[in-house]
Amino acid sequence: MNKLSYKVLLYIGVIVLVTFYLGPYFFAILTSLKPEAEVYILSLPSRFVFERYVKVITYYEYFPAMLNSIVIAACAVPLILILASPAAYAITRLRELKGRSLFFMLFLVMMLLPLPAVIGYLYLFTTLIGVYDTKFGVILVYSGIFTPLAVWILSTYFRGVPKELEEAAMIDGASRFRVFSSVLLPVSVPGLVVTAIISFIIIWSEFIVAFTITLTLQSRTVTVGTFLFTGTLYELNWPEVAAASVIATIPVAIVAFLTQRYIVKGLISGVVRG
Amino acid sequence: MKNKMRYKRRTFIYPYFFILPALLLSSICLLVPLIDILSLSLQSYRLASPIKGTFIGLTNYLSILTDHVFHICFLNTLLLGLIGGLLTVFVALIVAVICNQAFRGSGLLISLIVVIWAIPSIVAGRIWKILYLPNNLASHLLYAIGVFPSPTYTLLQDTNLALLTVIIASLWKFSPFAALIFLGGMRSIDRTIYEAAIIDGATPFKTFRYITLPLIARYFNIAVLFTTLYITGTVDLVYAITGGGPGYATEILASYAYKVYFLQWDFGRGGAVSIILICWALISMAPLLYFLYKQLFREE
Repeated sequence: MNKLSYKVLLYIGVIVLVTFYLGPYFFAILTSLKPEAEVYILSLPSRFVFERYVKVITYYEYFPAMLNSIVIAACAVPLILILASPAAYAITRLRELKGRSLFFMLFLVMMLLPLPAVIGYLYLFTTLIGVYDTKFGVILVYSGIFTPLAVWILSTYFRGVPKELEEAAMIDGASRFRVFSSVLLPVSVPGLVVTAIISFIIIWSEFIVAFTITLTLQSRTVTVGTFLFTGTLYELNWPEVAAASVIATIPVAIVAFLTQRYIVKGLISGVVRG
Repeated sequence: MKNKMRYKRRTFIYPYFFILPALLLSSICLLVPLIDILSLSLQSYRLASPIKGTFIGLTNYLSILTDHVFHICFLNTLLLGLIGGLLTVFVALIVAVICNQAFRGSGLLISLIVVIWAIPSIVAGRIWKILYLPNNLASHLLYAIGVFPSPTYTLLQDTNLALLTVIIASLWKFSPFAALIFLGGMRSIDRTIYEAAIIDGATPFKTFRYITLPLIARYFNIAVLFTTLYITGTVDLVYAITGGGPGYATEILASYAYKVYFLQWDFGRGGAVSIILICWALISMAPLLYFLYKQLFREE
């Protein structure tokens, strides 16, 4: 095979991939912009209709859900970092910790557990302690279920920090906690940023747990809002659903696009060594 | 002496202060339920019934295991996990290979798959649902090229093929993560191997076949296990696209568990479905745990 056929094959591959990954969004955006009469006809829109986007954004149920998600993520992400970073430090560095590998396995099992399996319990639990359908309840549960992932990402990151840094501080008489907070954490800021970004995206995207432990607008998240949204006038209106789905995608797509380097690093560092 | 004792005790206890807060909160949300669900599954526990919590042994399991809806769900989970998982990983490998080529725009392609990874599954499901609707752009197009019998035909209403809608959307949503695993694997390969191969006159196809493929083979299992676990443990796509229908044609264990819990309000049987789902997850989890464990504790 010569260079030309390689190039041709490569570009065909790229076009197929881009079509596959962007195609559904292209259809959805087109559907959301078509005038009502042309929605179910195979044609390009005769004119673009932007009213649906305005309608969705101003719909009284949509903005609160978006705001809830922002509040929940803004509280849960720092909490996850505060919980996960010492745990990850203990698992990777504290040889005094008996059963280190067992703890690590426990966190891994928790990270990989399918969430739909525990929804019945989470419903009973949040009802029992009185946080069902509150933002606080969602923050609490999200911190619990996504801390293991953060522990995993952080522990692979802490592994890469040279031990000499800590040893030097220990010789100077710093306590273990001091070493962790004043030596390890400052040099691990990139790792913390990676963990925060991935936690934010996972929290923003979570659906089934939020669907189970929220009921009203006071705690409903953006994914639940998108799922329940069928149109602004209590009738099933797919072009409006398309507009709502496009709007729900935008914030997370922007975050992901701007921080993709960190995301790639964080997602694969635990799986791929090198 | 006394001081030394105290010091010893302190060194024994203090590591746990680092780990306990995280472990406690996570366990309450993710490990305690395992025990709780197990005990629920052995009780008669209907939320609407005045008498709750009578021990009834394995009755819930027997009722679930003889239920034909459960059989459909189990088969669908198996189909989605195996066909969806393998297909997704195969596509992911192609994606990774293309992203790994040196060409203008390869960075943008990687951005695209990262963005797809980040899109909430429930939103992705809605986007796909719109594409699947009858009498739509896509169905007209597929009718025009002769795939669909009529433009009003939709996979969503086809009992035999409805699962395909979820498989295709899963392929779309979950291939980016698997692709990133492969891409990471490819990037960790020593560049000098390729340089040597090119000097020896190897074509891009040959270097892929004899260098890249053998060196990333070990990530294949991991990618399949991760993908299968994610696909079968996520109800979002099923919910957003088909809601489990038509009938129970696209119901999987995870989505069925929700229905037993919150539509039938039967937490006993729901617990039994959850336990079966967890067992299924543990099967794909076990080898994955082994590999991830080796990664982190390799030197010790």
